[in-house]
Amino acid sequence: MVDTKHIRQSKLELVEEIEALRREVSRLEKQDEKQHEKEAALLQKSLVLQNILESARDLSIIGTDIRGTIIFWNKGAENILGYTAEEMVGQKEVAVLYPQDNATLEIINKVHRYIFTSKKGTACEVEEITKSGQRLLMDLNLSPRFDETGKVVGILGIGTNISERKEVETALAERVELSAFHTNIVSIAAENDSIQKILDLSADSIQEFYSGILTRFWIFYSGEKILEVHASAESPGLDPLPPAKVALGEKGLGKIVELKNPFFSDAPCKAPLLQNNWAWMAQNKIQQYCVVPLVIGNRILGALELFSREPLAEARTHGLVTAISEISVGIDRIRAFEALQYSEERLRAIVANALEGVLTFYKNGVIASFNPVAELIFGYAESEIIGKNIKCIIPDLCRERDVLKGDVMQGQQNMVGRLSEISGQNKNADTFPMDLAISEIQVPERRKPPRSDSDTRASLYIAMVRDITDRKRFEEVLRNEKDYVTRIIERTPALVVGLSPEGATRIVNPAAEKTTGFSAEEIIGKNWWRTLFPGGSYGQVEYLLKMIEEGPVRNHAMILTTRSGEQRVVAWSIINRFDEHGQLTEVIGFGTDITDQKKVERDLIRAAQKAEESNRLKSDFLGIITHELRTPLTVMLGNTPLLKHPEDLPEPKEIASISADIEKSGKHLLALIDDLLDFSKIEAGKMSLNSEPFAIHELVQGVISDCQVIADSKNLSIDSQVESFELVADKMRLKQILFNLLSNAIKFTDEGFIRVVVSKKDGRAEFTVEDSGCGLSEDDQRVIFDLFRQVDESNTRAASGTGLGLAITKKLVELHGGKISVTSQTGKGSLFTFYIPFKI
Amino acid sequence: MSTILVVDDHELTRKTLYRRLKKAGYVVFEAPNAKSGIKLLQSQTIDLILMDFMMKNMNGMQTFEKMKELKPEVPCAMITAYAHSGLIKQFMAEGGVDFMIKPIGEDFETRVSALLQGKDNPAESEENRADESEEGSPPD
Repeated sequence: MVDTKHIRQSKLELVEEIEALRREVSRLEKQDEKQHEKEAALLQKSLVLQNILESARDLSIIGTDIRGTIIFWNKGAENILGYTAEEMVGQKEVAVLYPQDNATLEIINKVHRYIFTSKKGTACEVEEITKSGQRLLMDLNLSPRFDETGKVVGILGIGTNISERKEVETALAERVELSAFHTNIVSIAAENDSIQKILDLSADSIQEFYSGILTRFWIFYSGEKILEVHASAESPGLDPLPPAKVALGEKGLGKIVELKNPFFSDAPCKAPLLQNNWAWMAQNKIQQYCVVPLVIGNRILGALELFSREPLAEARTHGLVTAISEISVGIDRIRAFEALQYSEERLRAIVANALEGVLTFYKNGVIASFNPVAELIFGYAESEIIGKNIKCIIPDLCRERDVLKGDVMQGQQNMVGRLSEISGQNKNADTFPMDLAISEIQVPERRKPPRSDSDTRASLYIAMVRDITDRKRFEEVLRNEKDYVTRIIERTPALVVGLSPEGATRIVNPAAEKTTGFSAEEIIGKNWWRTLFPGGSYGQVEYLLKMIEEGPVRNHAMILTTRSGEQRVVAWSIINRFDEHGQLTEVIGFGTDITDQKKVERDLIRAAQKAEESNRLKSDFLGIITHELRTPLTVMLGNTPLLKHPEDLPEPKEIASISADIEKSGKHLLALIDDLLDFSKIEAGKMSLNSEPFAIHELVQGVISDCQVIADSKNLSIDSQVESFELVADKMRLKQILFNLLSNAIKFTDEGFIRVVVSKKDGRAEFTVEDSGCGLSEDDQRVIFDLFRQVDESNTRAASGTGLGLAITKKLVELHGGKISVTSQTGKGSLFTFYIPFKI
Repeated sequence: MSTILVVDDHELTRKTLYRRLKKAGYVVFEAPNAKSGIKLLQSQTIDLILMDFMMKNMNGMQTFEKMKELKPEVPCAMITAYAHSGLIKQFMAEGGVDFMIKPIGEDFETRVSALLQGKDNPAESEENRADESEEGSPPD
């Protein structure tokens, strides 16, 4: 192996040696040696030099005469070209050494001519043929040989074998070309945004660089497992090569691609895999077939297929593989970008149209994006909020020092990935409640912004916010409602109990505790009905349960027994609660303790009845008074017209009768008026007693004898049994009392007896007036002394009284500090008894 | 000559009415209570009933109801000292022909006559009643 450097080295060494020899020669000349010796030595040296020349192994030194006949052939020439000096000396140089092609011969002739004419040396590169027939590229330095006269007598050629160097140079050039190709492919793959464009440009570039006949890019669709031609470059006028689709694993291409390894064949027309293309390849003289799969990681994207008429050098196969891997990366990049772009667009669309506010912010809190809903929620336009800190819209998100540290979520990692409730603040600085969900976005490595953009942007957070003011308000209302209901249940005077379907007590309110006397602790868990309706009273519960089965129960009164054994009346309304399967889950009872109410009700009814009665009596009394006053007047005024006309007077007997009637009526009217006056005096409290001591016997007898006159008309006699004792009272009023009672007895008695008994009893004077008259019904006995009250109105007529007698009598007895009562039996007479103290 | 039935439990009142009606030329039957009044109504031909209200056992209203059942064609006027507006309304609504409040005035005979004349109207009465009342119309 000879390289240029080496050759140059050898040359230099040679030159130096020659120089050294020359110096030696001159030094020798300068020496005082004999000239012969000198010459001999010189000759000797010259021989040595010749030896040296001959012995140079890597330089061919060939000398020719003027006719081109080789006269000198050194060892180097022998070594390089294979011929010995013996073989070559005397040979015609041109005929032996050089290939007999025009180009080479032309160079030789030209060089020779130049040397002979210009007498100067020159150099050239020319091929020489070795003894074994190998062509070598030789770098020849040719110089003229002169004779003593300066005439060119031949050429001395020093040659260096530069074949290997040339190969290296060619390889280098190939490298450069490959590198240029590679660069081209890389830029195609890197600078284009469309896969199609990359494939189109790459196909053209490969077709050209690899002198292809047909270059095709197949792209694989994983979903369909189909390889499809997406780009191709072909020589003009080429027959098409179907098909444009191949299933993965099928036919030559499909099988090759499936293996994911490059496939090169320099005898494609014999390769069994490519059988289906043999005819076409043979027809198109295809010598080289290549398939390079486009693979990223373990994933097949497609493949390059190349048909060429020239075998591919090894370097080129490598180049092709490398280029294809660049294209793969390019395609992957675009695909990833497109996928990302698609998902980003989709995401952007989702965010823009989201029903919730969506915003993103960097690790340092700086807001990066703000969707329309967020604009609405916070009142900021996206343009004005971007770049501001998240703290200005969510003040409670983090501590101030986290903002200063540039990592707002540092202390709030627990908020990431979950929903929290937090206050938001809008542009008007109003705060409102909102739901907040923060997630961290993992930015893919290659999409991270450049480092120079500061490290704080390494993390991006996405926050979803929802204004929950309305929901809060609703919750508040609900809570209030619940509180309200609870308060009502707590404070209502109504009993509220919740029972299991079996009657176990679950809930009791304070009112229920109060009425039953059982505290919640005591009764909860116990059977409500059994506890409050013990023994025989449980029958009420059985009845109630039957009612519940039949329908809603409203205000059903039941008598429960309290803890202390007291009985209370409670009116219950029952609500049944069912689950979704219609199964009874709870019985809720609302009770009203109506024990007191019942009593009040009764009292009220009684009072109302009394008032009503009293009113009716008052009105009746007035009606009766009017009636009583008008009746005698009717007689008086009704008869007088009969006496008004002297020319038409009735019979004298009739006149007498009329006069008697008028007189009687007048007297009755007078008595009525007197009674009314008495009565109103007593009513007005203006009746005063004129008390004086007197003997009772005398007084009673006086009254009896007065009454006997009236009794006589009915053939009745008044018996009496009167003790003798003295009494202090109003004589007149006592007489009135006795007269009233006696006259009543006479009035209502048609036959039998009337008896008056006066005695001292229990320290007081007791008077009884008994008769055998019509008697009084029980109802009459109850009301006989009442104010404004008369026994059956019709009786007054029969008795012809004022109807006020007994009421006045009772008042008079009471004025004396006594009491009056009656016992009677209808049809069998009455017994009036009164007593007064001996002394008022 | 018209026949008038006076039902009143007050003897002097009954006597008074009797005197006045007799003098005016009517035939007068007196009853001191409902029971005897009904008996008279059933046994006699009566052209007009003058009914008191406040009476023992059966009051005037009840007696009127009873009589109306028996002889609905006989007109009945109430004459009472018990001037209750409810009673007046009730009585007139039940078919009473007049309501006079005691004491009676000097126009008593005129009112009674008017009641009987209304009854005399042939268009409003049964034929035999009309004939009878014509016969029994009081001389003036």
